[in-house]
Amino acid sequence: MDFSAEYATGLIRGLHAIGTLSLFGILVFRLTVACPLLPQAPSAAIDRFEARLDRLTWLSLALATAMEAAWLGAEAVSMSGLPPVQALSGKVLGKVLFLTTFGHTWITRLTLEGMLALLILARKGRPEFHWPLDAAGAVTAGGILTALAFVSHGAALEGAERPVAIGIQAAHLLAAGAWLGALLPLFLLLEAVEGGPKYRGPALGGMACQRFSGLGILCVAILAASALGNSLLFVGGFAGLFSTFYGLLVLVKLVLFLTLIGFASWNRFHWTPLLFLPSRKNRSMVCAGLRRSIALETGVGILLVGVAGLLSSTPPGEHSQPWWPFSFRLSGAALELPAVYNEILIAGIGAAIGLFIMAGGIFSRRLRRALIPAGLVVTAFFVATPLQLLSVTAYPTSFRRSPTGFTVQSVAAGERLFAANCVACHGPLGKGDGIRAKSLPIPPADLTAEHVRDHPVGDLFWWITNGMDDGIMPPFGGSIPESGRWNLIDYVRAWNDAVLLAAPPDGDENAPKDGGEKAIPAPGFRYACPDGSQQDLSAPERKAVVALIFPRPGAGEAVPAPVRRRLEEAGILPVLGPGAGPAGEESCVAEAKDLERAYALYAPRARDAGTLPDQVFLIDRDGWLRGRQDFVPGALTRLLDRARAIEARRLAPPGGGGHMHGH
Amino acid sequence: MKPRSISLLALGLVCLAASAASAHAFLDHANPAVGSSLPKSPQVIRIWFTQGIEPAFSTIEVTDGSGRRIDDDDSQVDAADRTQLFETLKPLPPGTYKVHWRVISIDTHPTEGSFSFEIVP
Repeated sequence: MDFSAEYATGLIRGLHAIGTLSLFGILVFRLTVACPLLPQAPSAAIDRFEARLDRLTWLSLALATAMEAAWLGAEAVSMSGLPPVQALSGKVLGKVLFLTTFGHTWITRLTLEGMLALLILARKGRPEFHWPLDAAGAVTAGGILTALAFVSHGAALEGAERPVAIGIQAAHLLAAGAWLGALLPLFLLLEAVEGGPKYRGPALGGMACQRFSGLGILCVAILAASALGNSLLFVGGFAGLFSTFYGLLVLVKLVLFLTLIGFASWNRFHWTPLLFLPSRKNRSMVCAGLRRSIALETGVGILLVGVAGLLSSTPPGEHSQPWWPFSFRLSGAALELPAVYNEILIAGIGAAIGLFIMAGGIFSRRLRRALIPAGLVVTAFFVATPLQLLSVTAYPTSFRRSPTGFTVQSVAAGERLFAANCVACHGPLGKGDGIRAKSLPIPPADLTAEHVRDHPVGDLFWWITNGMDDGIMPPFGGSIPESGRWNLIDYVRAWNDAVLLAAPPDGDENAPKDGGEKAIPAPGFRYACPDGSQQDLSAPERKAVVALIFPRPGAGEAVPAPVRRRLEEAGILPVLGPGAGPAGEESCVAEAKDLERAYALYAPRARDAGTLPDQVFLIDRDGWLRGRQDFVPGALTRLLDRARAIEARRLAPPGGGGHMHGH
Repeated sequence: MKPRSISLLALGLVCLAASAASAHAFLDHANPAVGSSLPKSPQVIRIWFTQGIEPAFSTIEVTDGSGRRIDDDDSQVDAADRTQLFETLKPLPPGTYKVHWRVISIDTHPTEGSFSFEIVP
């Protein structure tokens, strides 16, 4: 992937955004501030202002259309993958314009830009038509921004989220345009009205600022809400925010946004009231100061839009794995302890009281000075407690996901690696009772303990790679390749799950433990069906409960036709493991490699033998392993009942870093 | 401080001024699966991506062990699901095959990758 090309496109998108946001802002400013107020100004000031604003409008339009052309060229190169000379041919450009979503929005935008040019030309010298033409222009410019929302990230989503995401992005762009795009026009108006020869009239500068502020506050509210919506959809939680380059850019954008709000507030609450001073000389000094501030604000605004443009093209870096920069993270695992839960509840109530005190301070003039700081202190105190209680140690790899997809091959490879590297300390069954265990100052962990499940796979990866407790558990980063370490983690998780699923000695399938069933992922495998199709256990389009049957070798046809029919009627798909009967079997057959070895883990009696005669595993449609039974073709009732119970009750995935299917 | 300025600042603190995340369509899963061993030749190769993709510029290329291209360059996006790209294949002899995919997401970001599968009867 050519990152520099993507950044060039990002720059083009940023410049294009500056042009289009400016156009919308100019027209909204005309409608809401200039048109109502300007008639009260002397005609010299009006002429000065109109001339300058016209120039700004044409500059913005020129920037926008120039960037449209550049963007089209950049996309032709990027989409076709051809060198620029070949990519900029009529054939490729035609394909981009007419066969892609980007092309369709491009044509829309260019048409609207043309219409806008006509509207601007039409309004010149016709003051009586200014209002309707400006209104039409604002709608047209708003249309250009909305067309941009159709090539935003939200447009690449599927389903019901797509229109919502596009709507949020459109609101974000329109609010940004109405606010940031109106800054320069405000600057020009102030210059025209207050900077000219003296006149006696209403304080137009101050009135303009007040009107602009009103709209500005509305825009800030819309920007905040739409940004929150975008974040919920796309950032990927706090892990994504702090541990990827993209997240870093988002934080930069946030800082710039807060800076802008700071400028805006200062302009509104410090400068603007001074514009109503009676003294002409003071007013023009204030005006100069305010114009400087607006110019600075515009500069920060341009920077922010530039960052946004870069952000929209930032590659996440070969499907980047997050690198967590802090030494702790927040985890809800501790909430399971009643003592902790109660403390947090109390802290929550305390924090709410603190916020209540602060709110009282906002509404009561007299007690404001006392109540707001007091409320702040109380809230901060009560927020500190949960932060401490819910903090757990974190490592740079804590938020990494396993790349293995939790397949039978991975689990079996992990078992072999465990036998070669880990049993000396952790013991053959992982209970921490290996030969070397007694000689260690800190005993090796019992990997069958339920506590292991509370750690995300990223924590396990860190410990295996770097060791624990200053080398008492040695680091294996140098001796086991990265894929092997993830295999080991799959094996440890599978074995830990197996202990959870452990059946009572009489071989009956697991009844739900108190608190309900825990979601245990079934190791993935592929199977081939009589119709020639090849399926994957984790494929989301699978709609049946899978019964993975390990038949007794040499017992003839493992699943006779009537049995298979009964199973299929109940919504169960029988899949045969290795050792199936003679050829001509009409059921789906699973790939043999490592399948029996991996599933033997979940049947304690069979584990040492490594074979599973007459066992059936039930896997629900979400991929969870829900039970294991003896397979008796003649007596299917228990199997069918269990399948029905499984279908009736879907499980929620475990929290806190469980296995991740797929990528 | 006036109430309005407090609410302004509060709004600023509440928002995470995130722009659209970069939407790159990555391989979610494939059939035949990445790195898998098949007993017979697949009739269709189908790849699911994490985002919707543009049909006009998204392609799959399948090459055999000697690097020769063996597909017909007729990959299409599933009409019902814009995240699926598929291509029919002629019957293939046993061996190792490499799949190279290159797609453009709906919001114009190109991604590419490759994986292999083998046919072992």
